[in-house]
Amino acid sequence: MPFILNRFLQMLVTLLIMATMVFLAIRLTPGDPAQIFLGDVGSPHQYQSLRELMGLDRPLYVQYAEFLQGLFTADLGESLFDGRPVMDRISRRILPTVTLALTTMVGVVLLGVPLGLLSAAVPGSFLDTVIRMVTYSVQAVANFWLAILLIMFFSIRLRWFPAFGAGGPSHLILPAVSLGIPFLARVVRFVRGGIVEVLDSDFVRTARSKGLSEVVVVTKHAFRVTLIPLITDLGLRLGWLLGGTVIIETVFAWPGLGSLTVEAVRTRDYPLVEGSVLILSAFFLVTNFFIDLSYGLLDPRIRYG
Amino acid sequence: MRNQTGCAHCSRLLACATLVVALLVPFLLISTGMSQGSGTLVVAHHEGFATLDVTSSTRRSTLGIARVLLFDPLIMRGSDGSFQPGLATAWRQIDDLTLELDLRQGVAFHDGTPFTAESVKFTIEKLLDPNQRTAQGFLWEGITEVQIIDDFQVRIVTARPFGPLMAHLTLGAMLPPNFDPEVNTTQPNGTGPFRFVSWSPGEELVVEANPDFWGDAPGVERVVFRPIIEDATRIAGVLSGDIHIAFGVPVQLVSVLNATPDVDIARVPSPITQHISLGGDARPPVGGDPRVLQAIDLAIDREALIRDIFQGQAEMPSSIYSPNVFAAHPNLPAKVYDPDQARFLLAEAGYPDGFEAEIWYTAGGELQIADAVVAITQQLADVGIKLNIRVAADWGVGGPIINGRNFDMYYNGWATYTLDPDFYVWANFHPNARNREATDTYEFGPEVVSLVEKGRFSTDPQDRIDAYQRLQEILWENPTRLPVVQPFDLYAVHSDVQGFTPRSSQMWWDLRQATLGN
Repeated sequence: MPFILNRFLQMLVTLLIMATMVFLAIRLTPGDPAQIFLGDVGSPHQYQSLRELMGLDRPLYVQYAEFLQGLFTADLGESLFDGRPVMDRISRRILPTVTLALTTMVGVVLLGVPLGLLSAAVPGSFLDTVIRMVTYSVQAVANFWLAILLIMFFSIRLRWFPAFGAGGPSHLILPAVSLGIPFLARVVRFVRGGIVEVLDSDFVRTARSKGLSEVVVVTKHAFRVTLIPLITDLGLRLGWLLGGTVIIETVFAWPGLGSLTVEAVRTRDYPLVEGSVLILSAFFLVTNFFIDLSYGLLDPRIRYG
Repeated sequence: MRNQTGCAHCSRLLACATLVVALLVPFLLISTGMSQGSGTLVVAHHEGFATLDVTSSTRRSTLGIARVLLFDPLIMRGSDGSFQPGLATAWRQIDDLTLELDLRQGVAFHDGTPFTAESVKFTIEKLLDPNQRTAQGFLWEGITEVQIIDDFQVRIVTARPFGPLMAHLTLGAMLPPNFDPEVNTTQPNGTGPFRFVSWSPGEELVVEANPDFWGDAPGVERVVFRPIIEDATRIAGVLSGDIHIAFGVPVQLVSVLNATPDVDIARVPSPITQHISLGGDARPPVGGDPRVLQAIDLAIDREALIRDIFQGQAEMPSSIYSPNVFAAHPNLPAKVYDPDQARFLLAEAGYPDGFEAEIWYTAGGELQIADAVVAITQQLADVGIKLNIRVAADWGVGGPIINGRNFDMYYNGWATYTLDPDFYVWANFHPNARNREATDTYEFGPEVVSLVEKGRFSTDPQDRIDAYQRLQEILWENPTRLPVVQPFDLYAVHSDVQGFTPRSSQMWWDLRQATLGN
């Protein structure tokens, strides 16, 4: 499978470039980890020995070489502040982030695709107009604002769902809705647009002339055409959901990777920043890799050479 | 052909099934949240624990909450700030360099290890070890040796007389000699009123009452601590009844909470005094001419700031540091607002039309800081000083600007958590401080330096009080930092909770006496 191998190698190269960029970016950001850790007090001697303990006194190329060596042995290094492996800290945060992203994604697809189909079935109908109006307006909603409204209404007023933290499925509802609503609108419009575009084309006319019902024509024939762009978009969005939930994680005190990354940047914990950004990039790349592979499954005309 | 399509369906079904299973797994793995029994106190703070190694960090979460719940210091502070017996029952200064302490007998760590003189020696030596990553080194740096007299008596020896030693001991935590960094940094083992149950970083720390605690038994069975960074969410938790006590109530939400029957606001003067640091001689015209400084001081309408920006949740500054810090001066003249006099002084200094300067602040703090900076900019514009506002993204960015003195004015604050002035004045007014660059150059009159040293290198409380009060008088008259306001720390407390009294040092969450009603 030379295609798969090729894509896989590309992915590794991209990761390596990412790693180098993160390594440099966080070190070029003003702020000295030892200084931040010690605060404003302590002796010059304590500061020097802390810098040595953290390995910050060594030249940049030595630190970079060590970082690369670590990467090739799947070792993300140790936190500057407690000396514990970065992987330990990150691995506890992966599950909540992935859970939230996937829940949002599944909810959005389960709701968005049928709504899009309904809307497209009779373009211009009353139902279509309502769906479009609602989706256009909610797409403009900032999700952190929506999050706070949801907390006010569902946590404080009705007390149906907890306002913060991770726990049972009930904790997932509000963050997933906050993340999903603006995204849902996008999916509905995507599906509707794709279908309406092809409703007049030859293959749809053929399907209709075979005597197939409108439901079958829309769901089986027209919808299929929108699948590839839809899956591509969903894939990119999933990557975005995995990496871009920082604000929602903060609002809901969700113990995910996003909040860990922000914290790491704030304290300039270099290895922790590098580790979490790398993991997030890896999520993104792997998702896209599988999306590429799924094209062949969705459209038999696509073959990987 | 038909067959092939069937197979494609199969694989799609299989893919769907796999996806569904994959989605369910996380639900099964994530544990089922908080078990809120009647005796479980839920508290929230805006800082997460980076570590539970209470001898490593100076964060309020680690030092102010985890340490106080799970550990004991040798000497405690009473609610009035006085020194009270902790793991030491009595102490005496044998000579200027030696503090002798009698240790409490019959105390055990949560794992059963007895507390003895060995623990004291082990803990302090661990903190003095240069291979230890700790931000608490400053607490112990004066100590040269811990001598064991017998199992329950130790002597702490310092290289020079060390005035803040007692205050620093109150921020310590005694570790057992069998402390294992692999285990005990995530599963702490102390002597405190509560013992460790579980910790999910970023989510919650759970502790339960220690049945063998040497002091009065805590008033609740369990405490669940939750870090919630977002102010609105933390307060929502209090309003919905999921959180009993929340630290860090934003001023703008006070009226909402006051209107809620179930929630009270407890307040105490913060150890932080908000001030404007001045760039010093190197940055004229703000630096250099005392008349310009005085003019700026007179042009700030502090009462308006307190009324309109801090909405009454702050006081006029009474000194250069918080009134609850040791030796705070009780009767310095009050700061006055006099824009006419400010204009006069500016004209006298050669700036009848004012001048332009920069004012910095650090983003990410309380909202009031940004608002206060804008308000001060308007107030100074009235006397002809045009301020351009600059924002540092966080402390990592702001630190080098302050240390490099690359600013005319910087609105920030200083938290004297130790409640001992040495913490503030040494770092800011002594030439040997680590942030040497950060210290102003022009206030190093020999008298200032000698007073700072006298405060640190004297063990006689009255000598220290005299030195620090004289120092405050000098720095009040010739400001190098302009104290702006003395804010309150605000806590939202659910009416179910009784017996919770916040302390002025943010390093002490006193939950021992807290009980839950109903």
